[in-house]
Amino acid sequence: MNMFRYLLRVAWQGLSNRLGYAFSVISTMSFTLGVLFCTTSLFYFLVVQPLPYDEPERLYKVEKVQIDKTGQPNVKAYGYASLIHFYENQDSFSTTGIAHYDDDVIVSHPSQPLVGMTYITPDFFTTLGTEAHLGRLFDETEKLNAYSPNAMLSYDTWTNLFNSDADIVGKTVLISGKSYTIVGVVSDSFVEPELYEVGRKTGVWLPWDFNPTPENRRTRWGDRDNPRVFIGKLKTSVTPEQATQAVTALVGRTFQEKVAAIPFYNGWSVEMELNSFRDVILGDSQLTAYLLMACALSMLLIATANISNLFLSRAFESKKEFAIAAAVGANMKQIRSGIFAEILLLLSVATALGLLFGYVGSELIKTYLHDVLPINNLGGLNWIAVVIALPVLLGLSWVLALISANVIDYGQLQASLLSSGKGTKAQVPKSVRNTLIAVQTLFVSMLVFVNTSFSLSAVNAINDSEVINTDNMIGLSLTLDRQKPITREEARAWFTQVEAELKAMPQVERVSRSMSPVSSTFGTWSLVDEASLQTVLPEAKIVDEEYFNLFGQALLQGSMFTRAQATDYERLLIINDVLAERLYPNGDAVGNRLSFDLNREASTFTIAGVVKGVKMPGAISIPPRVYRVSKGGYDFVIKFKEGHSVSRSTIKGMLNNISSRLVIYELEDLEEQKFNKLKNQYITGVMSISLTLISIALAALGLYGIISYGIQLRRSEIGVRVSIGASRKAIVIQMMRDSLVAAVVGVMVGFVLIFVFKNEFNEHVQGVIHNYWYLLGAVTALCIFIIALLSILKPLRGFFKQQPIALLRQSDN
Amino acid sequence: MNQPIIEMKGVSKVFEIDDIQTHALQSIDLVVQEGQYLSITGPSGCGKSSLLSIMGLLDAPTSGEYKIDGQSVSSLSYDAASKLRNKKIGFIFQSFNLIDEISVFDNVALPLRYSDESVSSEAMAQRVTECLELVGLGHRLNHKPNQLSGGQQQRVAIARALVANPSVLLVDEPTGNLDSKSGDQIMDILDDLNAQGRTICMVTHDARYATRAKTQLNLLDGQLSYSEVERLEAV
Repeated sequence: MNMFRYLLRVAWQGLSNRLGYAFSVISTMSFTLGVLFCTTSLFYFLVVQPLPYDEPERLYKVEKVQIDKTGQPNVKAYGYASLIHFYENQDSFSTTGIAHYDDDVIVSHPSQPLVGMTYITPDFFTTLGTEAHLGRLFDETEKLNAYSPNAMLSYDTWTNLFNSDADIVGKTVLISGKSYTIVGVVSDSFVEPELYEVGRKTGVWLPWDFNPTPENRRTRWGDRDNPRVFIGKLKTSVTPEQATQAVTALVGRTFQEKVAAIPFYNGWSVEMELNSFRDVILGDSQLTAYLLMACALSMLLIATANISNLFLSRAFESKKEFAIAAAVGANMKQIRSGIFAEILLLLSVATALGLLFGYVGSELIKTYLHDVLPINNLGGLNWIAVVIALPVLLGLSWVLALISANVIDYGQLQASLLSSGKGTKAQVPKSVRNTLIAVQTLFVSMLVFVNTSFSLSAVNAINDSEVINTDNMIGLSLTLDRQKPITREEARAWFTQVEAELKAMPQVERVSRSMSPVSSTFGTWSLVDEASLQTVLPEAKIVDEEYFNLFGQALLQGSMFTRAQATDYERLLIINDVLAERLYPNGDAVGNRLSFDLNREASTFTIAGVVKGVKMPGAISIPPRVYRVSKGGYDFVIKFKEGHSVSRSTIKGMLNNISSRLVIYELEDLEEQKFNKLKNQYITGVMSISLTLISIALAALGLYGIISYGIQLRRSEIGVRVSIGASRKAIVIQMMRDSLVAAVVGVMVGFVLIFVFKNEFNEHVQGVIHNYWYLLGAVTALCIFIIALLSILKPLRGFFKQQPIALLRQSDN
Repeated sequence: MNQPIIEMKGVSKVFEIDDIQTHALQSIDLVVQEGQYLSITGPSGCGKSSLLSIMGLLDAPTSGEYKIDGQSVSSLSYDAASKLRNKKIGFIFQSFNLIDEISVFDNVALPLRYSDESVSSEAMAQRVTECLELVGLGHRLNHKPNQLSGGQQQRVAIARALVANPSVLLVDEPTGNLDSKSGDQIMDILDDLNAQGRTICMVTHDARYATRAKTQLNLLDGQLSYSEVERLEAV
């Protein structure tokens, strides 16, 4: 122990004379370990941590995939009746629950907040193993068809909207004109599974019976809306494959029986999908977690290569000290222990800093990415990171010490001591030096290139000019307080007045009475072209005459809808260029007719115009779309003038002036909605840009370390060259030639590998390898060249400030 | 009358570390004539190497005036000093200071490569070969320095010092790292070079070799203790 303490002390003294070297090692490894610890924690939460439910590995979300007549999956959705039939008749799950997701306003609350409403059967909670914080969970009282008007609050709703009222049980809430008695508050420890969409939280739980599906749709077997979810806990005796077969048979049979008469579903079939909770909840995030982990491990590999290069150089530099130690009786093990002590000292500092960086990084992720990650219980730096720190530290130290010690030939140590003074002191051999630089730049160029490419692809997706423009827009959806009857005419008059008052506001540029295409989903229509009899399944939306101007969709053929056409509900369509190209590749689309049912004139529509298609945020292509004209309903999209906006309270005041029974159902910034749809791209972008910056920092540190340290080790050689008349320029050119040739070889080999990889796996790297890869490659090479140049010039500048004899003298020491 | 190659007047060198001043050289006056063979002896730390470094423009004096071939070098820039070193001075170091990773040929050719005057490849090869043959190593052109013995390496260093045909050879403890046989061989070469008219300034602590110079100086505590003493002709 005393010996090891002595070795540590000697290592400390040695390092205090090599601060640049120590800085290079510590900064490289602390950055890398920080990323590793941070990524490991995230990986743990996304991939390893058990889901917080009862027997989570047996929990499945079961989805009904409707396959169209071409054999392609078309939509995942349950018809209402189909879901109830499946829920009541399945035999593969021990417990099941169904849920219908919606949003609604708590009208009885003073702030009339819009909250997530989830309509469930009582066994939904039983299946998840949920507990109540206050009162009780739903039970037989709220079973299917019991129509008990009871409600449960989420813990957040109870604390935020009801001030943690301890006497909340028994009180009532008014939702959509109906009064519900609160029977309980869900436990604080309950983590709601994000089965419907990422970031969606339920505020109020209501019995299934009260879900907003209209009575006439509750008997449908072939619905395409998808607000409904089925969950089940698989029986222990049944495998997922067996369950898939059984439920496909059950649901498929009834689907064929019940929808056979509907022409739209002619030739369609059904397949059931059992998706584990882990896959459903974590989705693509698991892949992201694996990718991030792979990146972090690659970075560790590169950083290890970086510092092993430095350690090797250091070992060469220390050969004289090793020889002296050998001369006074040190054996190989003791010499290795000295190397190990120095490396351990450096890596201990790096690990401590790495834990600090990891902690800061985890907290940043927790703070800024909490909303875009699919888990509600995201922690900070995980204990796993701390636990792996010690073996990583010891393992790395030992491996690196072995690598460094490998350069020592014990048999030659004493001989080299005896002949010290022969030659120009210990130098890293040119071949070793060049190999180190080449390997370094090879890894660095690949990492920087791929990460930069990945970042640019993510940024491109975010800034895609084909994505719908939502600048300065909000979506406003209204509902009516129906405690007293309202006539249709009365409601229409109110909404018309709302439109007029919105348009009259000085801040408002334009108003469309349509649903926001960002927040609402498009329907799918089955239309037949009257002339060619070609059937198409375009996405469909009902819009007013302002819609296309509002979103800046240019007219390519024909004419836009007019106010008169909207008011008269004329049977007119506008299609996008994608659909026009598909149906009428060689001709004019305007005037052609598309029909739901060619036998009924009332189901046949005339194409009035063709508009430029737009991408929805996050989509990779523009699908064929069709728009039908209407004068609008409860929904508005409002575009404000540049730099203006209107507050919720102003809108609320305006509505109250028209009628106190007009309630804001939803008021949302479309930019925010767009952001929500682009979450994956933002996560990828933020992560890859962070990794790119760290890679570049590592590249800079690694290259700087190996080149500048290598040049410092050539101090005596440079002293010799200067003493025999070399000018500064000659020395700079010599050093550049020596270092850059190796760097160029490394970069070129790296690019050849990338090129081969791109050619071999072109299909798989679409979106990863940027289209302008050659330009990116040139920029990467330029970056590496600049880093290399700075690494050469920095130490040389220091040399040139001294008298030449100082270079020769210090190298003698 | 021979021209003075080196002229020093009142040259001092003071090292300052942590406010402690060490006077390595104190007001040195020295003239070295063309063709002179001069040795400087003295105990360790007396300033021998400092004097040689200043002579070779590897270090700057704290005060005093210094001329090489009549040209004042007190205020030369870094590159101008390099240029002058390349043209006028040939160094021979105690530890040889050869570059291990290049061949003997390339080591010797270095001063020609750094020269302002363009030298053709053929001329360079001829000159390098001549110099190596002069020191008996014409057959070792393609060897690396670490493939040679200490004595051979020092001979390569002598060849390198000669290759640009400098005005003066500055020699720092040339036999310090050699056995006596190799040391004698090196000294014989230096004697021969002087006999051919080369100007040599040699620093050594070995009195046996110092006496082979025609002019011997003794340096003590930074001061030349006595001026020229003609060397007795060997019997």
